[in-house]
Amino acid sequence: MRSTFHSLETSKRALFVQSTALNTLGHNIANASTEGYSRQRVNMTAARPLAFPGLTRPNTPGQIGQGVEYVSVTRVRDNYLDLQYRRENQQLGMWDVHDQAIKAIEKIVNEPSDSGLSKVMDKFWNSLEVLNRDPALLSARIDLIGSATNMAETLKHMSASLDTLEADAASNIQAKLVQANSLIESISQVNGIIRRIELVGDNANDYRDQRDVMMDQLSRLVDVQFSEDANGMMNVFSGGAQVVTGETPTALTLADVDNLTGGEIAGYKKSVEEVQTIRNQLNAMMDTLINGAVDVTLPNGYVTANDITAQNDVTLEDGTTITAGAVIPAGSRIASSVTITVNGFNGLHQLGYTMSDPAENGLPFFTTTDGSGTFSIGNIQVNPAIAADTSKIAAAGKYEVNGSGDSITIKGNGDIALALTSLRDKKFNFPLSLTTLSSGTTDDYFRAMVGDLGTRANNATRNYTNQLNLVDGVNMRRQSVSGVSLDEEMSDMIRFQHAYNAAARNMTMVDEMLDRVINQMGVVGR
Amino acid sequence: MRVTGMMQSTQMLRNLRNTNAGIVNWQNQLATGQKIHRPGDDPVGIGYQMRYDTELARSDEFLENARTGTGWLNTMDSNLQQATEVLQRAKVLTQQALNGTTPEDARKQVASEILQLKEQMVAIANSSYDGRYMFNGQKTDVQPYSSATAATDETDTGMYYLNVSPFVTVPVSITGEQIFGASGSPDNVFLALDEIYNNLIANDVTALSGGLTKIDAAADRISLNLAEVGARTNRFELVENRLLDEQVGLKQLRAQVADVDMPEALIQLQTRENIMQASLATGARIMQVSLIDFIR
Repeated sequence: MRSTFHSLETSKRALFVQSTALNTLGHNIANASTEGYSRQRVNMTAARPLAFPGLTRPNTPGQIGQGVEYVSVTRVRDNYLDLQYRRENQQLGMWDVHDQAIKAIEKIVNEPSDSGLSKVMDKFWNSLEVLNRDPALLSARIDLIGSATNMAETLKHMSASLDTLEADAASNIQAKLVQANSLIESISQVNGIIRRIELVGDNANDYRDQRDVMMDQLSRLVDVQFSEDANGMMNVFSGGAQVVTGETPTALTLADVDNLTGGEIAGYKKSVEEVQTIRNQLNAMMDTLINGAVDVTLPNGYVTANDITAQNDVTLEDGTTITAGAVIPAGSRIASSVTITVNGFNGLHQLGYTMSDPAENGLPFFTTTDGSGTFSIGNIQVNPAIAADTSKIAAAGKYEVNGSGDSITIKGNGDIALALTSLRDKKFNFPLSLTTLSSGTTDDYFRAMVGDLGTRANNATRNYTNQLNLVDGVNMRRQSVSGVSLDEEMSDMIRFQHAYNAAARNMTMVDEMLDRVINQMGVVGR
Repeated sequence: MRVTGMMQSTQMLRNLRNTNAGIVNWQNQLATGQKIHRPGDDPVGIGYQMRYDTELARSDEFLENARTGTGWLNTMDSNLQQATEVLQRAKVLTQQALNGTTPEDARKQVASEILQLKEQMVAIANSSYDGRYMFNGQKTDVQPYSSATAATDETDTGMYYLNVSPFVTVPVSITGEQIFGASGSPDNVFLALDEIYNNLIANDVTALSGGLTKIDAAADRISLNLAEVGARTNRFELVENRLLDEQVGLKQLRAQVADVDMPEALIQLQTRENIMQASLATGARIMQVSLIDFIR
């Protein structure tokens, strides 16, 4: 036997459930543009009908509906897409930073341009050619010192810019670690909230969204692997270490940075490596040019100031022949062509004679500002003694002894200047510890270096674009599943509103029925 | 596929971003006329571009060398021409003096002119180019001849060379003794002039006639050197022409690698402009439409 007020209860349930659905719908609309929000659905089900086993069975045909109930409010979300998103997002973070850094390096290398290193080096070699054209010309000497100083300063500027870039990357690693650790802590806190909410059987929809947004942000910074435990808590691993264990966060430290395989922090680590590669390559180029062993031929002979050995048999002006490898005593006037192994630009310059009287051997043309024996782009400078006195440029390879026993440089002799210009076309061996480019002229080497940088820059840009497309694609699919569609919500709104109105009408109808029974029944003949 | 409002705007923004990136790129190419702005634009091409730039800069220097060589040799040429004229005049004067009818004091007058001619010859031998003595080998800062001891002055045997390509070095200078005769040798031009002068003062006609052959020998030697100077001038001029041709070639090659193909770039830019306008127009139309507009 059903209750008199059965239909009233059914209508009331319908009113409650439909208004709940309308509330949730309002929640969806309000969050239509919220980042990471997943649309929520009220899952309705028909209430248990009469009669249900266990209830007293009335003596009437059964299964009278008791209206509607909602069993849960859930968010619409595909966890597999989250997995994909975070997997691609960590690579995107890494390539984004890497791409930015390598573009900054390209700016520092500044090629092609009218003020880049290759133009500056062209100018340097050309001023040696000018010196060879007129070895005693003061303006040629000043030009050489100017262009050499310019080259040293360009290199120093590059060095300083690379240092800044490297320091920036290193400090960004620190800043991003702080950011990642704060996310890790927040995720473990939200884990606790979700556990307590879901323990009592509710769905922590909005907290889950919040946690997913933080996971997305974390995956941009570091690589993440994650799994959810039975209590709905997310366990997160990063760089092989567990950083979130239920409600317990474990902060990442600088020591963990080397293990990271993705995210912006790994990108900064790679940027530092890129800067070091470029700096090493440039250092190798300059140290080899200035110090590297190379065979130089002086085609028109040479007058020795010290004992040297030559690579070929040489003939002196007095007709004596000295075989290759034998010591040529100081003061010998070599008339034939002579090939000598020298230590780079400096070694060759030291063979020459200055313009001063009496003749002096050339000084090292370049020196280091820090006194180190190894040249780098940070410490190279034109020897201050030469910069202060143009006559210290040793362009001549010959001197003669005058009547009073003084050595006088032959001013118009440009044999050493000529040999210095020839260094431009000499193949040097570059140290393999610093660079993969093994042998070639300095011009070749620098071009190869720039080409190498370009290839890596291209690679970084391509990877970044690819990742961006992948992440965009996954995000699109995620939006397709979880995003709020206003049109859909509008049509649902009409649906729920109508249902609500109809339930109210039903209640009115029951009210009228009861009115009929209570107030108007049994009054016949009144 | 379920489409949400967020998807529409995300997609539209992404497409606009891509189109704008393309527009910026082509606009930059058109504005600069250059294809390569950073190594990543064309890692291989930039190597070529840098090589051609370097070769061009270097070629300018070699061109300057060739022009210096030509200038030096032209000066040498006119100096040697003058020397030849001096010797011709000396020969004419000597021949006059040799004439038996010439009186003794006229020979003395001739002698003083010969002395002037010798001074002139010393001045020629001491001539300089760009402040450098031309006929003293590599001792360009030392005056090779003094008029008192010109006949026995020694000049430096060093040579002045200029580079005209990375591996080609061309000699420019000819040392004084090669032109004016070895120091102290009988056919040294200064010695010959000294002898003629002395013989004229001494009025020794027999000895004087010997001077005539020495002048001829000296003039022959100078002519030979003139021919050498001419040959070298030709060589430098050829080099200059070759360098200029090379530069044209290099500039062409550089243009192929580095210069923007204007029609291509303009069409690409125009295409992207059209795409942007279309995507803006459709985006603006579609994003406005909503169910809200149709329900009351």
